[in-house]
Amino acid sequence: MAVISTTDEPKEDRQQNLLHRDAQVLFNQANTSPCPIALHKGEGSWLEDLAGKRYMDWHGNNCHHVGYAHPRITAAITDQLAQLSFVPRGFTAETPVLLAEKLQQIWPGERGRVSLVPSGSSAVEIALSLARVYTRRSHILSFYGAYHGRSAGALSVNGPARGRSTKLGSLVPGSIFVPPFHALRRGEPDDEAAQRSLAAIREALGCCV
Amino acid sequence: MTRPHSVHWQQSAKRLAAACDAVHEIRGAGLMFGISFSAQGGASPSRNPSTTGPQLAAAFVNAARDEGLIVNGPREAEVTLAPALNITSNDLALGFDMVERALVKIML
Repeated sequence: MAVISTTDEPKEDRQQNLLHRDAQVLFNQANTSPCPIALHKGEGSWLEDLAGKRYMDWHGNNCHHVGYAHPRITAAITDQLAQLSFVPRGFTAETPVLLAEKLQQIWPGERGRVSLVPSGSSAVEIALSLARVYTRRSHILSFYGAYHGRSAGALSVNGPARGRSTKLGSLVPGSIFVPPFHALRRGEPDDEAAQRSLAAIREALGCCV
Repeated sequence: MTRPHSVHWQQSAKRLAAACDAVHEIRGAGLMFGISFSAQGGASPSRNPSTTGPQLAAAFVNAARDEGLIVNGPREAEVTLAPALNITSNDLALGFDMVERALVKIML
């Protein structure tokens, strides 16, 4: 593997070089390109960029709930990779069963079974499919402003102008969009927002809700 | 340990909202908060009166990063702040210091 940056390069130059290389070879990230900094490592709540500056992470994409490099998580992933890195289709192993059992224990709703998927978009895809199969209905009610993911099915239920380009054309049909139950503009009372949402749902479904 | 953090967080957020004219509203739950910026809320005489909420939100994101704090946004006039749930009390206080300094910067 070719490494263009050299360790004797000034740190800030290394960062700027990497940002330049990023722009040359990677797709832009929606709404966030060009990248302002290149991250190098993380520990706990802290990140460090390639120039050596430290940042506290209050962004986290809402998913770094236990910070970076948590020793228990690092050990668990490392151990699993060393022991069994992949389970071919049609087989099982103890680790996914343990996770499913734990999720069942803490799930407050009716007892169900677990499907393990690698991303939120995948989870939404499966949920949409399950809903269609279970209800035998094809329409999905979705809120304006909602974000569900980047895959085709998830994009089809993202609120208009939220995470999808109009250039995409037709997606999975059947989405009906209504205002959310919370305020859309500042100062709007919550009960008015809820009433508006309910009226839109009633109109969309053509029945009393 | 999340509960005491959450109380500290909410108290600090309310204090910042009251102290900064550019902050229209801070809302959220637990350790997750959104800051909504507005140019309407008693703009400082020295600040460009044409500065909009989205511009203030963008300026806050940059000012926070300069201070050493990465936040999520801007999305229109709003920024989301969501630290790790196991953040230490010391780091939480440091983070709020950075939020405060970033707010001061964008008000200058």
